[in-house]
Amino acid sequence: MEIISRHQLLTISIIYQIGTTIIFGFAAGAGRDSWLAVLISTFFGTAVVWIYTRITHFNPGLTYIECYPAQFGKVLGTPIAWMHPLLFLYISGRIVADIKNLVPTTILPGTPPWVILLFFMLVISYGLYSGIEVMGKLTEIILPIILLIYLLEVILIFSSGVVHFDNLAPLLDKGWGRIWEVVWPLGIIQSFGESLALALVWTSMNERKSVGRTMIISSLFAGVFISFTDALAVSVFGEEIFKRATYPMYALIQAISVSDFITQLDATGVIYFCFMAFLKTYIYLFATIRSLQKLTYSKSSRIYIFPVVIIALFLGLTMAPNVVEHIAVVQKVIPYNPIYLSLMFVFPILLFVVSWIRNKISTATS
Amino acid sequence: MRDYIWPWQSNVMLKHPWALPILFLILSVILSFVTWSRSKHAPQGQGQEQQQQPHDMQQEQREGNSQESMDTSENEELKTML
Amino acid sequence: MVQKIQLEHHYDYILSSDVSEDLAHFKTIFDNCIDIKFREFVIHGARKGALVFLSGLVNIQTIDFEIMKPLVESDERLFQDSGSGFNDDSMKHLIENRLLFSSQLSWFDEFSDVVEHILSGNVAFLIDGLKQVLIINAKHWDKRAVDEPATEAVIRGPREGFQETISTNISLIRRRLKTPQLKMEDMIAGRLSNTQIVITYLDGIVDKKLVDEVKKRIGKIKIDAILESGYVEELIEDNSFSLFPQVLITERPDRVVGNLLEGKVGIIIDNTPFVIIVPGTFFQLLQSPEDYYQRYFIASAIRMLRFFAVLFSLLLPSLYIALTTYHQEMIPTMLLISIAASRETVPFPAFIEALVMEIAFESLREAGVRLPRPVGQAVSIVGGLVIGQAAVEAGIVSSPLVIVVSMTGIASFIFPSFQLGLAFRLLRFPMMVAAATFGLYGILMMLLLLLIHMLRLHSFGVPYLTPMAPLRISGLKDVIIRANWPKQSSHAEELKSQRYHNPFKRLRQRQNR
Repeated sequence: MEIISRHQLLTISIIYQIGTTIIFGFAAGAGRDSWLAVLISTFFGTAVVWIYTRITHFNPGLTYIECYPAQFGKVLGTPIAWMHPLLFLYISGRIVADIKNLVPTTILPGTPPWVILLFFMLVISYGLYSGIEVMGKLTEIILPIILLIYLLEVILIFSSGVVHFDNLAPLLDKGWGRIWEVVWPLGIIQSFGESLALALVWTSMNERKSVGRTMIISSLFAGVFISFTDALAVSVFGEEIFKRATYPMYALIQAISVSDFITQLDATGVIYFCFMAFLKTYIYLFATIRSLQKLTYSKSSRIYIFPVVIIALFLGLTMAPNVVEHIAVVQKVIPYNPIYLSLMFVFPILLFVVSWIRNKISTATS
Repeated sequence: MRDYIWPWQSNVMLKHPWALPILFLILSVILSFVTWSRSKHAPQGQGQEQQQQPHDMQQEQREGNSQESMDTSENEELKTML
Repeated sequence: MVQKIQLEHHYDYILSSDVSEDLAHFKTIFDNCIDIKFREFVIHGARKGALVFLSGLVNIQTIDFEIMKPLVESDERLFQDSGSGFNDDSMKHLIENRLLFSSQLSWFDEFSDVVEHILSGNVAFLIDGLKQVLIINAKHWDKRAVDEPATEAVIRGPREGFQETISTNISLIRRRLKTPQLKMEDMIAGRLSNTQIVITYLDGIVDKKLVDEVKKRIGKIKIDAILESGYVEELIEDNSFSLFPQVLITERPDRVVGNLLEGKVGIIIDNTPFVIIVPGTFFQLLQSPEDYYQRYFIASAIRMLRFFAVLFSLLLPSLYIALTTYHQEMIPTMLLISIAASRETVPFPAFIEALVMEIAFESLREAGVRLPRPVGQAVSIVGGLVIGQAAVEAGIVSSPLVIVVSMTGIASFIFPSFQLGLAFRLLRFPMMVAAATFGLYGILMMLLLLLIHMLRLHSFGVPYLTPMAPLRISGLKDVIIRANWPKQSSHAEELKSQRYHNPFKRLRQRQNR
């Protein structure tokens, strides 16, 4: 069993939670108040993540998946547990479809998408084969690089002279309505409900007690990061374009133009995104194979790598014929989808309550 | 009707959003039987995640120590001349 | 391939106290070996004796003046003492203390041991009436002078390099660490070569488990002959299939000593000047001992230059290919125009151009190694300049590409460890292929693949990319820059804490201060 350190968990979850918002933007529907919406989502999202960590705390030694049968009984708990790997597989398919829609249209127009995705899945398989420990070290090394590149990007944006802070005002002139629209449920699902997949990584950590604290730090950091990026995007583009753009953050990079020398750095934005997507997909697939291993009582998770990767590839390739439909699903269907809502909110809260009560009873009697 | 085979596709999800949840439910019930049938392979204790350490090196070295003492006794006589 | 049965057959002989019988056995074994000499003698007409030695490996003066002369000139009365009551011990005592002048003597009673000692360059002294054989050290052969190491030249620092004789190498290390804590243990490996391998470490600083692990792995080597340290390296490495070396190879004694002080173990192998140091991590392979001899800022600056060189040697041609093929918009306009202009006449796509140039460069470099020294330099320069220029003028390659390839070549020479340089040279090619097919995306994926691979490597329990991978800030001081001497952390303690299951131990020596 591999062991990751606290710092490695921190870096993994920061990159994971910032994730694909790098390109797609977060809470774009709130227009110029999106940064505020992000901060509010962070607040609630961190609480949700904290609930997830508490669940694993109350069930020591068990992975998150195993808590369901343990607390709800085998008959009810096992199907619920099985829904998780299916969900993770679906979401990883979504990310693969994201890449399929982004990379060929921006940087590699002549290459057939399936080849691009095949290469992607190959590297992911190698990562899955190497284990989470290697991934922890990878993120440890790359997070500083990512932050550095981001800093560079921000500096370049400011030096391009396109930033107009007055786009951010007036604040809240359209009222709180659209903020709440975005925060619940999409805002909390997007980066924080998705941290559910990280729950399967937590048991690999060497210091069990600091899981909660680490996740809270990471969620807060990611939230502030995303909020700042949103604010930057609005101040560059203004509200209307930001709401309507397909890839708002990508457009940010396209706006960089410093003294006619450093221009058109789109490809770097895409590469940045590819790495974030890589890690997110990796964590989802890792969560999937580990859940499968736990649910089928297998000795090692490696035999599931090949089928899971193939299925994710297939899902991604067939999911969306074009990016408009793809994003429409995110905005219209997913917030009301019972799977997301139940697995990310309803069931965890129930599980939390049940585990807490049982824990109280057992500590009271012992 | 054919749409129901591909419930994860975006067009199906827009037209029949409940197709995917139903698929999940069916699949998870079916797969629970898999878990049930494999429950005899279950390990004895479930809380084994934290206790594993990279134990190969330690075991190897315990074996290595006994072997190494044999080697050095053979080499003693040949050691002298430089 | 010699079969095992034949070899062990010889060692069924047993030593007897009869010199003629033993000599007959020796002559049978060393049949058709004209360099094995037998010198039979009779001491004062009474006792028979013989010397067996390899003429190329012994010092004839020693035999003549220190063995034969005292024997011949010895006092007659010594051998007539109490006639029949002359037992083994008194005979041995007599020979050791009153007859021979040698400083290293030892008695052996196993036939196979005697044979091995004869083959190592010692003299076997047989005497009638005594079952045991005396082995006298008289080794002497032609060896290379201690000279500057060919592969690791420095500007400032000692110019002594290891030799092929193991005793010289050991003495070179001894001179630098005059402490009894410096231990040298020897082992033998190689069925036919019986190569002597010496394991050296600093007792008290090194982790005992590491030494045991090294001895265990060397003990497991089953091979006919060990010709060079590369054989041993491959057989004891954690992952010999990887491109990256997991041990450090060096020809310099000061480098070995520096690493011993950090708690590493050195493996010295007979007949090769290359010494292996384990465990070897990636960042160690990028360090040169000269870093510690130069001034603080200069050494740190050079270290950072080295890091960029690593990146350049890997990525520069691939970036060129990716940017000119897929992402032309990223290149600043003026540069883009000039690149496009120079590529106007070139019939090939950027990838083929780069591939051709890289292969030409590598061939030149490989050829330069084989050429005799004075010619080699001239040919490399001529080859580089003339061929490059002619190729540009012929329109086969473009001049920006020549610049790219030569900068890559220069960057790859900066590696202090030529093995790591080789690894990166080779890795350039898959990287170029990935860049040619997938552009920047391909480069990213290849880099990820490479990083994941490097992160999986371990060298004797230490993760390969320490101290960056399991992040240890204290260790980073010595990686990116060279920390000032007062601020350097104790490397030995760090190495220990980097191993998985080793608790942090305080050293006895340090507590004394």
